[in-house]
Amino acid sequence: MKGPKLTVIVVPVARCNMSCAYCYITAPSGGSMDDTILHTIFAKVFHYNGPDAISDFCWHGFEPLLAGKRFYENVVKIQKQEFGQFPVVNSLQTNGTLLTPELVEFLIANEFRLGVSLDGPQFIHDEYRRYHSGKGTFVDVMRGIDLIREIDANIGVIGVLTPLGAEHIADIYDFFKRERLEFDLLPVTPVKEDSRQNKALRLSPKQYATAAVKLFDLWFSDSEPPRIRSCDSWTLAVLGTTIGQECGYSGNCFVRFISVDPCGDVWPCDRFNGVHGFKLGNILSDSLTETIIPKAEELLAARRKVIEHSCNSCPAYTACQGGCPHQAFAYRADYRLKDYFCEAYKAIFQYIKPKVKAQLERAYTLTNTDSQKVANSERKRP
Amino acid sequence: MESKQSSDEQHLDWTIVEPERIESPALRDLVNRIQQAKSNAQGQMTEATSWSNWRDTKWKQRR
Repeated sequence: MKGPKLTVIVVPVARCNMSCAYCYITAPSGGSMDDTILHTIFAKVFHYNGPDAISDFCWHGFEPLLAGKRFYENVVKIQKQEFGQFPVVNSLQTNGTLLTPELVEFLIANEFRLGVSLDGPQFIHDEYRRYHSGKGTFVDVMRGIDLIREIDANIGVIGVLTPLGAEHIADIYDFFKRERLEFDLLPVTPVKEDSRQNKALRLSPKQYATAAVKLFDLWFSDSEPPRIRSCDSWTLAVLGTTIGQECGYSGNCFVRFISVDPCGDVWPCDRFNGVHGFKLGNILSDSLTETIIPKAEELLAARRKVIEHSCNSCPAYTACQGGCPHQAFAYRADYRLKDYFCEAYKAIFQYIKPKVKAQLERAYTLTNTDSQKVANSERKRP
Repeated sequence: MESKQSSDEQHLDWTIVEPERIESPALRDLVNRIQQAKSNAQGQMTEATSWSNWRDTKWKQRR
């Protein structure tokens, strides 16, 4: 039987023009995705999701704009001409340095949702997000963001939280608020020991929780808060709803998302691209319903079994669902285990729950009091 | 104990609260969005409700 709607993270090119100190990509650099693979992805995914669901294609991983404008012109052409009956949303997560007025105009005209990677103010961003030459990228990224803002389009920012950022979380908040940018902050994703990643950039659960609750307080008490996806997610988790929830707390990310690399190989998430044991198949030769999704379900079921056993008695389990399988894999070498940031999530939820509860309780009381007043005045009427 | 927990969870029931009564603008906005999303017949996040307008109701006009 078909599972939930599938969102596809497409990695169109295995190259990047930057060399971030905390980069988590371990797959080797390579070429671009060809037309046959592109066409097959659309054919299989649109038919899997059907004409009643919106199919999401997220162009992400390495630097997707290195595929060039013609690649995305082809994406739009195939989607419109051959799969016009299927609703679609394209989003693109870029480092922002390769945006040009023509490219931005084309992407926005074709309703691409643009996400830019930016860690905060220049002294934080340029510390780790640099070109291969070592030069910081902040000025070029902001130029790209300005191009998008010039035509009044929305931008979602994703930033990486390092110990430096955690130390300056209020500066990050002020920066994004001042720039009127919606943002999300994700802790550094560790990669295997022999990688070039600087291990000093990793956050401990305690550092993460401390920064997170500070960020939450700034957001929660602000009269004009910026939209922060991380804060939304923690609050949604406490409210016990999966509506609009991030993948990491969903508990079923493996069957809601797949990633397709430039060779057509399919993985449960782009973070698992190239990782031994996680290949779900190849989009050219394997069926989504018969091979790829069943393999993903198998991986998910194996994790659920372990998580349910280890987390069942935890009060935060319903909120985090064991967290992100990749964070478990990256830190603990086993994706079935709970997220490395488990203790941080518990601390965050424990901190924010009373605050959210108090506000809802007060709102609920006010609503009831007013309803009571209305009922009383109606009773008094002759 | 069990009834205490259920009462505790009841106060986190965002479905029965009028968002405009919530003091924190951030929480008010979030509850507003998830209530709208819930009331959407297809359960899809819409232009008005998604975090960064990630879903788009305009696709129909595009076709």
